Amino acid sequence: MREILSFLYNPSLSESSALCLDDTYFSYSQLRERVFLIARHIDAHQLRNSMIGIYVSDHIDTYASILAVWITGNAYVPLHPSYPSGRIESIREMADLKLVLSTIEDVPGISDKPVTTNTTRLSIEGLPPTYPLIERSQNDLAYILFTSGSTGVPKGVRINWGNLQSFLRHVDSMHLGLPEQARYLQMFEFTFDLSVVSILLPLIHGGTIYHVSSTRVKYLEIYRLLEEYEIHFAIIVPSVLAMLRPYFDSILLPNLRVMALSGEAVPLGLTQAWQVCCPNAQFYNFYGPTECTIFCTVYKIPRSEIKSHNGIVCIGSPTIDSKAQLRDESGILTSSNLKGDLWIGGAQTSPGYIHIEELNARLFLEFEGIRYYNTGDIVIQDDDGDLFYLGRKDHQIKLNGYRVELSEVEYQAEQHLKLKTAAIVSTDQKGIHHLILYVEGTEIDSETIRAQLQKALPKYMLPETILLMQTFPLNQNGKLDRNQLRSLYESNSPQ
Amino acid sequence: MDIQTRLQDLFRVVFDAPNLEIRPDMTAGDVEKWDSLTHLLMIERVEVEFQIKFKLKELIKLKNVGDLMQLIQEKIT
Repeated sequence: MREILSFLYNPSLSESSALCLDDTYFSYSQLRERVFLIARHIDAHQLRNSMIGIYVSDHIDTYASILAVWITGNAYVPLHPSYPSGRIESIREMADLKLVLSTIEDVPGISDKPVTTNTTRLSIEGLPPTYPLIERSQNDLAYILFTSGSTGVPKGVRINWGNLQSFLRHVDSMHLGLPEQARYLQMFEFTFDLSVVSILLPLIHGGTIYHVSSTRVKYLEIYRLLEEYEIHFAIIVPSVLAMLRPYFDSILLPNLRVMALSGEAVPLGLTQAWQVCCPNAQFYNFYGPTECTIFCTVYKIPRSEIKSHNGIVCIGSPTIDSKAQLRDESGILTSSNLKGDLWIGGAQTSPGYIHIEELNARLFLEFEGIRYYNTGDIVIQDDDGDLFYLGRKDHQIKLNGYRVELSEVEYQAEQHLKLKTAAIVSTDQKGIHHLILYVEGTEIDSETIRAQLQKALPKYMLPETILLMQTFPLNQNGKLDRNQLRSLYESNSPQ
Repeated sequence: MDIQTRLQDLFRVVFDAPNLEIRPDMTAGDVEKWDSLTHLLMIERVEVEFQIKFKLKELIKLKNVGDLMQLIQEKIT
């Protein structure tokens, strides 16, 4: 950990740019000053090994708060402004937050407990200009990220320093060949674990983070930063590229050296077309659930003869401290060339969800002394050991990079409406995913439903379209026929 | 109809906001449903409505609705 965060104590980096936010640069010394100031404040609360909430924003203090939480020997839990207050409240309770750091005065869902600090109001006067790093052990937590949960309650994935160190060990072994003081894109919400690598990798290597502002139209802002600032390293979600695809003919990014696609299944055609726009970049596909620390398999995408299955690019092989196993529904190892559930084990696998022991007992199992996590992804493996993603075994989907349990959307809708609902995802011809909610009943209007859902779900989980239906179609087994609903939507959709 | 009125009608449909009144200084942050997906749809509809085509480099320079109206004006004249 000391090595990971050594950039905070490296005087030779002081004048280099650490961060570019809304076209304003912040040097390493400016970042360090904010980190140490916030760290002193955390210290005043006498917190160690505690969970500290960070109500995130497009502000240097959000970055500084993450680092301050770490050097004071604590773990952070990001809270997103798009979360309804009820969701923040349940995260506060589950994670037992001892302090919330924010850049505003009042955080929704946090009333009297715990103490909330607006870090922008902290004063530097009279404080020593440094703060000694508190060393952590492998089992101490670095962060908890809450993801969509099928029972309507978000699941808190715990990631410890051992997980994070193993992950970074793999990234180091990739020898990315970036120049000194390279420029890195950071397009991810702080509640998404790809933000962790998009923050740490630049800082560890003395580079600059280019933050994609949440107030701008994301796909256009990403292109603007890549082009205007001649970015060297970017991890991008495929659905963002799908939005830029109509303009690929006019895009040329010769300075891009590393282009990683992640967060969703990676379409082959899109990848090949994007490779033309980035002639000097080494392409990668990074795969991994939050439970296995950022990404746990990697495929180095060649310029020709890209491995793929059903139009989806190969997800490659496990990172150096990870192991992959394919098991059938009974948990038995599958024979070679047969599809199976992907289990990921090893040093990157999370210690489990916070306070959901039943789920931990079901999804985190030990085989031959190694702890594995059942990803719920169905894969096959070729003779080289490379893995290919085939789909999900449940109703979890990726929507613009966000992990969404359709059953959570349905659960929250049914709780509030007392009506039967069915959430489906439709993918249009451009490869963009759309979340649709069908509601059984006609005595309610879609605006009322939307208003109810806004109280319970984060913005990214809100259905794009809400449709009412007298009676749901059923399949031969008498179960809800989601395929028919999807066909119905697509046959009536203008796209 | 002038550009602002036509654009306002289009915005009301795309952003599902029947009473939306557009202003030159309005940005994505001012409209609840204005995100990447609806922005993409809005640009497509504007191109059809005004029989024009935008370049990516033009789109990234747009800071607000006023910039969009001015760009439409330049393209149709």
